[in-house]
Amino acid sequence: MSEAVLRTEAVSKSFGGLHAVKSVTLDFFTGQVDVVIGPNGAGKTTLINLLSGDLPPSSGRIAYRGQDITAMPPHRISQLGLGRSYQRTNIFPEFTCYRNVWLAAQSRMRSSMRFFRPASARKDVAARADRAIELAGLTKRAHDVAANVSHGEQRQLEVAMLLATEPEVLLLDEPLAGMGPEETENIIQLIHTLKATHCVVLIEHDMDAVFAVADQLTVMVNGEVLATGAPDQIRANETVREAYLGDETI
Amino acid sequence: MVTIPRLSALLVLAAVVIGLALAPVYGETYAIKVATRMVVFAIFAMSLDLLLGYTGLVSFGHAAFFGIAAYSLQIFSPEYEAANLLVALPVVLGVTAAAGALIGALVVRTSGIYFIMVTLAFAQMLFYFFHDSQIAGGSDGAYIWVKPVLALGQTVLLDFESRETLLWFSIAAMLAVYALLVVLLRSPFGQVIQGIKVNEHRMRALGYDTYRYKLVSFVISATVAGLAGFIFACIDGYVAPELLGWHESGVGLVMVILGGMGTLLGPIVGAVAFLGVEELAKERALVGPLAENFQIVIGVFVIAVVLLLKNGLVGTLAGAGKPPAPTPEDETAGDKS
Repeated sequence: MSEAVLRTEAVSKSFGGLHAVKSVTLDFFTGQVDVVIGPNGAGKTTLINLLSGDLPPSSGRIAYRGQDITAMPPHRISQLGLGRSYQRTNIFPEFTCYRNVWLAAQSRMRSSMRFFRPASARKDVAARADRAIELAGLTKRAHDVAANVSHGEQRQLEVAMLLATEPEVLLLDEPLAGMGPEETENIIQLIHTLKATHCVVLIEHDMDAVFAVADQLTVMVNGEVLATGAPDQIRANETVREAYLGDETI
Repeated sequence: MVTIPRLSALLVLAAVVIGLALAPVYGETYAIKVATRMVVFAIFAMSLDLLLGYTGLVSFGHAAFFGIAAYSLQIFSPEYEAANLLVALPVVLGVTAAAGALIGALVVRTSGIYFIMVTLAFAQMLFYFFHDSQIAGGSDGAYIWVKPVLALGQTVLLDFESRETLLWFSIAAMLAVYALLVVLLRSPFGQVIQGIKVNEHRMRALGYDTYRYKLVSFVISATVAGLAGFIFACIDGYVAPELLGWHESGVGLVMVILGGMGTLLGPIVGAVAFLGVEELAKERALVGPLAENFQIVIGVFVIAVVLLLKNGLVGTLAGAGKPPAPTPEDETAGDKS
């Protein structure tokens, strides 16, 4: 495996006395899907928030392609090529789905400080938005107001917005939660396609999906990394079985 | 193609403009003055709508820029001759924009209730500055003895001593501001600020440095408010600290909400309706003894509109002025034109 694209070094995050993430050191690579699993409250979403800059770490270091991004504000991290989706749907509810994705696509213009020509004249932005909507399987709902589409479709919209920013690293926080089986299959296929050229970090609870896409599995419990390795290794790991997977046959 | 602004909005706008332009028919001085004030406040309310209705920033100190512009004109005008619009207007707008950038750089860092409080605090600071200092007459205010003219060399094209001329000029300015803001809201910049209004956190996650966009929106808004203040100072040729006071800022907010925020047309209608009702409520023949306390009538009117029409006069009645959005239809139609 080549150089890690994204790397955390002993990253920790505390909220007062609560240690949500404790000294996590992980490497993420292009060409593979890293899935982070763990029980509720294990610190998975906090880890994504640290990677995306939504939260600053209490200690430790995060590097993207060798560049220190530990203290960088989220908009700059996004511009570098790290995009994320949110576990709790985070969209522009009163805009149409198309306009939601448009804003995501427009963020890749060199600058949006353009005041005179209409935004809709930007063919490059439109092309990016159209492509992202199609990939997320949302074409037929594009012109519906985002607040009015189903929960599963809002989840697809999250993915479409992420794709429209054309990131190199995809941080996906439970993208499948709330999606129907058909859409789930579609997104899993999409992740398979994207991983060749992208670095994918996925948090997921759906174990079927996890083992369908994971190239590398990381198990987090109580803010710590319990184990990390290939899916088969993790499946066989006794500590993981006891701590998390339990007797569930996988 | 989605017509932006909608035809109905343009028809309402045309009706308002024709009504205001007919003011000289109703009376020599007073009617024209009232019409000009309506136009001035329409411009002021539109500038506020850019913040309130499109960027999601509730400024309670916007009169500061209105007043700064009025004072700048008073200070810039020579005592015994007319200032030339070609110089005075850019100078005044430049000063207002600079003040907007300075204040904006600080206040835009805050949001929500803090933004309201900090904008109010800055406006009150400036109010007391003009009130207590000896600049331009202190609490007594000051006069612009000779009103500005638009002159090319020795040829005077427009003279604001003429009330009609000032009214025409202000209506033209109002239409120009309306057109400018429509263009602005359709631009990539306009899409960004409207996104910030709905979900600023998401905009940051998408890679937008929202602080910069909010600041630019604040400066544009301040400059447009400055244009209103400039024209206002030309109506009576008199400026006073009250122009920067919180009462003036509050009136602006009421006009925007009355007409319907986030509609651009709403603030125009709101300003005309507010000042129109004020004039009617002062007529003893219409309201009898209430004319002494005309604010009661205005108060009842505002409360009635807010309670009965959720989105203001324009938002509810005309359903006009939906925020412009890029759609694929837009592009195909754009290709043909």
